[in-house]
Amino acid sequence: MVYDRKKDKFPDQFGRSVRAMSDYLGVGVQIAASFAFFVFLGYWGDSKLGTSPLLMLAGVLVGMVGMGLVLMKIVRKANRNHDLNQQQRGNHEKDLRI
Amino acid sequence: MRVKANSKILALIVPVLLSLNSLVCANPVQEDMSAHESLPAAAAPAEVHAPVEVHNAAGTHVETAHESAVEGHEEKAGDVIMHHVQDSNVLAFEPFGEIELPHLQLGSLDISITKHVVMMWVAAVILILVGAAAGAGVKKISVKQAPSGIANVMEALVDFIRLDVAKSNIGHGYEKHLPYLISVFFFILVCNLLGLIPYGATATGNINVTLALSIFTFFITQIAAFKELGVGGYVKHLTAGTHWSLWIIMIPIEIIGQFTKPVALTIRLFANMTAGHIIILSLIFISFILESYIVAAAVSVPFAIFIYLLEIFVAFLQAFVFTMLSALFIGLATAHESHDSHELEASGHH
Repeated sequence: MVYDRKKDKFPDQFGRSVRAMSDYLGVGVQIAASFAFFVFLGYWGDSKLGTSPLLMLAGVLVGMVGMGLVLMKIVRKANRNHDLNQQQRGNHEKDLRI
Repeated sequence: MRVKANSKILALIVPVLLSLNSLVCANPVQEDMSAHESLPAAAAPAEVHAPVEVHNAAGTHVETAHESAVEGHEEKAGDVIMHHVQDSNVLAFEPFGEIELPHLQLGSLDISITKHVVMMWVAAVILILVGAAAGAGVKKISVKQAPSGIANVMEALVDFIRLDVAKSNIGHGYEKHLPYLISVFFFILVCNLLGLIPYGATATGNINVTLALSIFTFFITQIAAFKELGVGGYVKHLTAGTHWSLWIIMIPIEIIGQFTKPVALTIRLFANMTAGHIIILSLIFISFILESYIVAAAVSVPFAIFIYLLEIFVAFLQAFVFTMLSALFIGLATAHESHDSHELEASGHH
């Protein structure tokens, strides 16, 4: 079956956009949930050990570090994808066999 | 000149409409109310448009009567809207009566057959019939002929899911996941469209349904990741390539991240389908709340029709987006670090 890429512009472009966004789709919820997770972990530890508010503050710190890590991971991946795309751009035009 | 003519026409029409308004007052809620013996309400709308200065003494009396009548309303607009979008044990066919659906208990679980369950069954039956018809249509023709009718439509959609969604997002080995993706696309599509026909209900406007669909996606994603990467590779996937001293932070975050994706899928589909229905009903109820034909003709009906058409588009779009993201998550889970970019596979070489 011959698939004409010129005819079906929207899904193709939409798909490419979604793929480009895919790293950032869940990142907001992920950051929020993980931050809350560490803070509540500290809070729960405090209530168990009676060391309020030390563990909760530690949880806030760890959560902040975690956010930084998530952002770093995303930036690194974005860089890598960018480099890959740059490399492929040369071959990309040849690959379109219509 | 044209503006002048328009304003003249308006000046003629508006009083007529207003007088009609106070005479006829076609408010279906009040027809229900005759059973609730709150007849003052029938007189109340006429008072609404009358200037307040006219009845200084009687005004208070009329106002209280109107208020008590409104409070006596069994169904305010908001209640009607919520009743419409929520699940219930009744299939209502408005002028013809209604069907009570059975309550079932399984231990402490409530497994009643509700409106949305019935709609899902209807969707399943429709899909089976359409699929059987399309299959028969394809069987009848030879390889050289093009399919026609329903088989043609289905072939276009299935091929679209196969190439544009599954193949471009998953890449190698997409055939394994194709049945799930096509099923989920058509099921969501039919459920969405069933909500837009009279006497229908939107099963996908129920968060339990969308959550169940997302859970399928979640499990398929996880199993595919385990199969593709193996246990060691899966754990390495979780560490996201960070230094080992940071694993204690990174692993919980990545695990949380695995769960946030299906939750986002759930909320997206549910909120889109529910919001559309609430908007349409709200627009229709504006004319009932303001009790005016002008608002009905100028605002409610055209805007409701516009949103309805938009909803038809959204029904297709949300089914597509859910399928697309399911495919994307499967693709991300099975992607090797070596080829993160799927662009090469996406460039469709047959």
